[in-house]
Amino acid sequence: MTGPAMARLPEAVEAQLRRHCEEQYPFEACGALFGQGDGVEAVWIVSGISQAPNEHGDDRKRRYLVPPEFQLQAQRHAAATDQEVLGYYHSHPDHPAQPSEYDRSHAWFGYLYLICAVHQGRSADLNGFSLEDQGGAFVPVQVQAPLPPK
Amino acid sequence: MPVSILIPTPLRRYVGGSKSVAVAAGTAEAAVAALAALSPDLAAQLLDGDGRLRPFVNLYLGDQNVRVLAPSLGEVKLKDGDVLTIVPAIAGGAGEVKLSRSEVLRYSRHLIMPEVTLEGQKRLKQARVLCIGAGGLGSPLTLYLAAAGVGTIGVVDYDTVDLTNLQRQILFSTADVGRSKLEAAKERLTQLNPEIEIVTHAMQLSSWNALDLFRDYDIIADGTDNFPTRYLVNDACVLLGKPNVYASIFRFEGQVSVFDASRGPCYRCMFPEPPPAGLVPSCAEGGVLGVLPGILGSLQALEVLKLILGVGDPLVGRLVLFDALDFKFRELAVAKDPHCAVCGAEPGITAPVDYEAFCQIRGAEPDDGGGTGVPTISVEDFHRRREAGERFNLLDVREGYEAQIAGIPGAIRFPLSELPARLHELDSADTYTLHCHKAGRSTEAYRTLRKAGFGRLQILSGGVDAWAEKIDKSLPRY
Repeated sequence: MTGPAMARLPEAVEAQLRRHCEEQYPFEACGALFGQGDGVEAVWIVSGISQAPNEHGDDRKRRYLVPPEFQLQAQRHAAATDQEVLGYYHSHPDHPAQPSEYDRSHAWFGYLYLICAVHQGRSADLNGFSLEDQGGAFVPVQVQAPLPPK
Repeated sequence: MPVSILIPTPLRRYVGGSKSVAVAAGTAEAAVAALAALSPDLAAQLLDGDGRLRPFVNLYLGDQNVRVLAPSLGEVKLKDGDVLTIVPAIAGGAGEVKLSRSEVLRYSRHLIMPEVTLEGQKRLKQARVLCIGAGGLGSPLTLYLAAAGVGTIGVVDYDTVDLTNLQRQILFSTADVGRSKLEAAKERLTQLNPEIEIVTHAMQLSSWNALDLFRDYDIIADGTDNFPTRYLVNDACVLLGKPNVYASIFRFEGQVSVFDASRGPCYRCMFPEPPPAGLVPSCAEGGVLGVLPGILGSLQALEVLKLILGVGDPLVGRLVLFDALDFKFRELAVAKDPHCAVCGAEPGITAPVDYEAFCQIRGAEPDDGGGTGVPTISVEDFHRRREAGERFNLLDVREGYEAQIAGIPGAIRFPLSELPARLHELDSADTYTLHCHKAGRSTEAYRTLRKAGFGRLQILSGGVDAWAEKIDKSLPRY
């Protein structure tokens, strides 16, 4: 079982996401991704993000934890605006935009994970991933700009 | 009593895609049990072996985390119309890079430096550096990066090891002659440091593959010896926002700089256009003192390590020139050009272009006369026609000391450096065939003579090197 192989991310949203990741450097930034798509069949269409506080107390340079209260609000916001919480993004300060084993073991099948590398305070590669199944391996998700409106 | 449970995206597949499930339950424990009863897979996600909520699953009653409300789910009473929300914990992170015991020992001279420490060494381990070319510069560069513990080193090359390489390319040994450079390099670098990963890219870098290749790396180190590749590497780095640690060498001189368009100039800011084809000879044409690439490639490695560690003052906006004969280092300030074609405010180049055309070099055989409309004759034709009695004025425009290594019989020595002063010795109405080692200097001599009014000129394609390869195999090649 695999999720969608592609996520559409508008430029403005990507810029917002990158800015958040750069602002939080040298700490990891994290936040929720809103949009359309159920994480199994279709393409993920990201339409917005929401910045979350990183509540990992010990080592926010290497870890992130989204507070459950934030998630609760994110889920409510999604329901109220007829969107889904598609997944979450986080940054890897001075580290490649590749998921770590820690990322994998804490991930949920069905969510889209965007990882943004930040080198010396500047955002670099931005890659998408999703689990092939709960507890399984990460597979890459192509991140592309949305198609122009018809 | 009916209560509804809101299901997050990752768990909906267990409940037929529903966003919400209604269950009859008087306590949170009963509600979770009722939900778990719908699917054993869902139960496994929510509950541990003892039927307790897993630590990475949060359950909210309204705005309250049930873990805060009561010590156990059974004590959380529900009433009609209550809404429970399942919130899966979201966590992760780059994770801790660890050094093994043997790595700590291997890098101990780094670890005790306050500018590096364990933290810096971990950065080196995480870093990904792409080295363009496994040649004179690439040899010390890759060796030092590998020794320093750069975790992933990519090497691009498509050549095989040649005997003429060994005078300066210390990555290879005599036994490697004829082998693929990448294969030999990977073997040598892995012997030096088995704790790192060497990724080989057997390809000719091109406008088609450069961006995809560079994307996977943090820093690009350009050790090429030709202008098309140099401009390609520069432009691809600017387009991807990656730093380009650059060096080049010629005979006794070298240059080194760091081009990082996000905070300084790029190569094009300094040299918007390449010199005319044939004007600047390659190392194969002009020669290079064997130790010179060792010095410049080591400086490149130094700048790469500084960028990774984030220490010191990188060579951004500065070009360092080294003259080995005078033993002088000079530093030139390089300013960012606001009108630069690739990194300026309104760049004309937004994707890699055709660099062969840009540098006016024919792709296949850059040494055959430059592809700039210069008439050429092959060594085979020349030899056959001369054997048949045709008379040629063959001018050898190499320096005299080169003629001592190998030469073509009947050639008149006319070194390029003496040509302007000795034009009166030649007759502009006569026909001349020009040759050098390969083709660079004969092309330059051709231009000089054309400007002086000589109209009947041709170049012996491939020079004395082609002669030694195809006509007189007893001659040494150099």
